[in-house]
Amino acid sequence: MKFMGYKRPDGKVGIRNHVVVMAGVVCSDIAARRITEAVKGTTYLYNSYGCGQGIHDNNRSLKILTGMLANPNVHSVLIVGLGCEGIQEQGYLKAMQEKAPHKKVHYIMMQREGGLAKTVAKGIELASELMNEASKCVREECDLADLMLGLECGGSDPTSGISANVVLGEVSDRIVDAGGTTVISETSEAIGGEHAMRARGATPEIGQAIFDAIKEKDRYYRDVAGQDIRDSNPSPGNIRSGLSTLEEKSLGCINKSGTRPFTGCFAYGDMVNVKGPVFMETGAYDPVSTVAEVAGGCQTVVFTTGMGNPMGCAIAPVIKITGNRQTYEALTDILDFDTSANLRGEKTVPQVADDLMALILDVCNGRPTKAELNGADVMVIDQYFMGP
Amino acid sequence: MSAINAVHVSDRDSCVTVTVPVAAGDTVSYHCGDGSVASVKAGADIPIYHKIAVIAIGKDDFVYKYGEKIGIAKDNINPGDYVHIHNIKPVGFVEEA
Repeated sequence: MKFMGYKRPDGKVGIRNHVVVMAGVVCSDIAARRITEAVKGTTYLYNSYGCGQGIHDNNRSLKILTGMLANPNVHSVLIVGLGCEGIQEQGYLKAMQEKAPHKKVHYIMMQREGGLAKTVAKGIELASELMNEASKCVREECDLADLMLGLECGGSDPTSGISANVVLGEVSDRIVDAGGTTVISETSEAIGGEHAMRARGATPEIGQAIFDAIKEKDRYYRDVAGQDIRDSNPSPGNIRSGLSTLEEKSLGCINKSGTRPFTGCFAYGDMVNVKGPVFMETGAYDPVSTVAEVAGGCQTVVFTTGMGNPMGCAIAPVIKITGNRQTYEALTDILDFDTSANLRGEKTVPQVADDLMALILDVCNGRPTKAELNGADVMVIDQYFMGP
Repeated sequence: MSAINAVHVSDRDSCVTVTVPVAAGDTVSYHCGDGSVASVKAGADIPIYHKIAVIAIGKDDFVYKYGEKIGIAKDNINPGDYVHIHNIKPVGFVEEA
């Protein structure tokens, strides 16, 4: 199977061609936003951090933000800093040089340019040039092996584990078999399934690393956060819909990673650099997890939901699928695909997976997802107030 | 044979997920791993996509779904009983290497 994508100089493939304007710190947000509003077609990436954090959270912010900017869906970047903030110009430029050395990155600073109007004028000039360059990119034929697919779920209900996640697991296996990569995250929503995850390690070390990451998260909630995570997860909505325990939710959740052996275990926001299905340690909060997968290099994310969720990402299409027909029919403006035919016996899981694969390829080719059409673009970075 | 109205994931499972709203007294039917069809009579109303027990589960015994432990029974649960937070609790943290 092929799709039409943007081949980048480093060999990676983008399925979108964003020129991103991002504030280097939340203080300079007004300048970044005005530039984005003035230069049609640019993409605004929100940053609520960049200063006033401890060193570990500061580094996490830098890691996630530059991971997003390094994503192959991003053609080029304009960062608008203030000047005095924690993450300095050189911090951004050095990280970008390491992660995406071929990508054009401009940096301007309000305290150097001389206030808001001059910064915005300079930014408009630079962003317009980048838009001109981006417009010259053309889509070329690419292989599924070039695809890195994020696997996410949120607002789960009991259909997630027996329909949407099962179908997505089948899709994950197909992409992996074609030489591509899939990324599952949300560590705490594998609690109860850690044995199954460990058994799927391509090596005993990978399996153990995934197992340990899940156990560590469980311990973190109990010993550091001061509560058993099972007291707050499943959420009230999960419970109303029929999920009784975190273990039940997790065992349904991990189905979306398919059956192939895990080839890696990555930390929060690491750049994923292997093929195959991999695990990434992240928070369970859906936007945090989705953003981390995109910062890791996923060009698109399939997000399964039972109850519905409108979230999207500024630079990567998020494809919403549900196994709950009632939800699909009620929330058509935020959902892209209904997997429930397998529950009614109308189609087999592989047949529904055929349809989902076709949709994913359409989205890779440029078809906008509902989240893109809606302009949904949440941007969240996990904060721990402690070391890694 | 009654219509299939529940999903049984693994033959090890002690409960199934109903795919329609079920009223007390209704028959809940599902496919087993070998393709045969089994049934249980609902002892209570079961909301759509919620769980119903298909075997007896003793108090403090594990409850299985996906072939794995999803919880521990807080009371004796009979075949046909509604299974949810009123009668099962999480397995909980287990310290192990």
